[in-house]
Amino acid sequence: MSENQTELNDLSIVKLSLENKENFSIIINKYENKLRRYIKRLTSFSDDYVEDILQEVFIKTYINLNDFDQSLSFSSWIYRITHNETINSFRKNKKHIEATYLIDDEDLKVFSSEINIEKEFDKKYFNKKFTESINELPEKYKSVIFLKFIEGKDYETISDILQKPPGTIATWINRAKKDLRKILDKKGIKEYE
Amino acid sequence: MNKQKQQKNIENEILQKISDENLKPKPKWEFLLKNIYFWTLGIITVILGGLSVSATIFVFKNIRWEFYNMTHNNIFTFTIEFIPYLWILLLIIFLFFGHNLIRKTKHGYKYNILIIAGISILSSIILGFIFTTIGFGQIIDRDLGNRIPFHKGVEVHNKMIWDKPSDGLMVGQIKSIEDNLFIISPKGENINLLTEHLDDNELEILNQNKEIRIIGIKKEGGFYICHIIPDLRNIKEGLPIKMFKKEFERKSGEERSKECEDVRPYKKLLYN
Repeated sequence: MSENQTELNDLSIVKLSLENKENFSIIINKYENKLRRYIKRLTSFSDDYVEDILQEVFIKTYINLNDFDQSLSFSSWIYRITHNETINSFRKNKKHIEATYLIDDEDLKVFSSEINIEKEFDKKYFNKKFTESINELPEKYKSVIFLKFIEGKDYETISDILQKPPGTIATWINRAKKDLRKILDKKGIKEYE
Repeated sequence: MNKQKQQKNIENEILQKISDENLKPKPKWEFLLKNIYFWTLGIITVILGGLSVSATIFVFKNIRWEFYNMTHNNIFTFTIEFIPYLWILLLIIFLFFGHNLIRKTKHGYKYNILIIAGISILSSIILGFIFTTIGFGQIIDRDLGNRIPFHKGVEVHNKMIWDKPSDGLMVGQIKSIEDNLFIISPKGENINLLTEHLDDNELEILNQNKEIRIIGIKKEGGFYICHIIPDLRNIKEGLPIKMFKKEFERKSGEERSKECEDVRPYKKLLYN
């Protein structure tokens, strides 16, 4: 299925949901897992709390369906709502964003090439160090790192999700990579030659 | 199996909540109105920025640069004294708010910060010049500025730095009562003017009963006039100081009383 067809389907689902609220379950089913994973990657909240955020995300999505900007992809729009809701939850609870995300083999490959990580590290050891390092990054850098390298979003999409100009996103990604590299370096995760 | 159950649960919970609380999608016009609201506020801040620019232009046009060396040691200290800090600060605040409001519009986040800032500054400057020609700068600086606590419009400020008889400076409206001439200071005081060393031309200027600046010496019986500076703008717009030196000052040093020689503003007038 091409990207256009997916978006066309999303548009149709939005229209259908506006006509009948029962159709909104299609959106829930389609995005639930992706969004849950995104919230979990970004936070250290308990599963129950993540479910609460997720529920709030879908309720807000439903209430604001008429605000869906058709110049964006529906995916960007719902990720935006999720991101904002997650950040707001942190601020309300006065907690810092602490990622508990543990990378898998696929992600390790991406990071290895993006920030030149030596590949012979023990995965468990690396996961621990990586999580610690990523938690030392400012909130905005942490978000772009996840969106770009883990969620695999492009600059334009990240710009639509975080509501920042694409140029700013590009700068953040570069700085995030450099900062993460420095932190990993301090923690003994060296750059390969 | 568990995953499917969890998925079903959240789906049911959400749909249940929508039904129980009778939640409905907000109408389209609400979002449209919100967007219009931010654009309108953004445009208003640019207009307010334009008004700040026009007040700033008015201040710089009415600083009375021609008198700087009589009241200040150099043009730098004079400029620092008259920079319209309030209007410039307000312009910065309006630009900041304008930028934030435009960012809050539907596609506002896509615009580069420099583009928004550049367009806002340029629009404020263009509007500022338009407002200046309409006369808004004067209205803001004079009528509004003088009502703001701890702030003085440029005209009042200018008079205040000339209302220092002990420093040899005076400004005010001339009033003649019988054979005596008085100057009404900006504070409303009537000060007798000692005119014995003025020539006929200078006396004639005094007798026009207009606002005037005087350089002189504060004495027991009043204010001894060394030199008078009529409001040149009433005579000819932008007449430079050197021209009025020739026009209004006596050329021969002997004719003038020696008393004025040590008055600082007078010395500046003679030798600069």
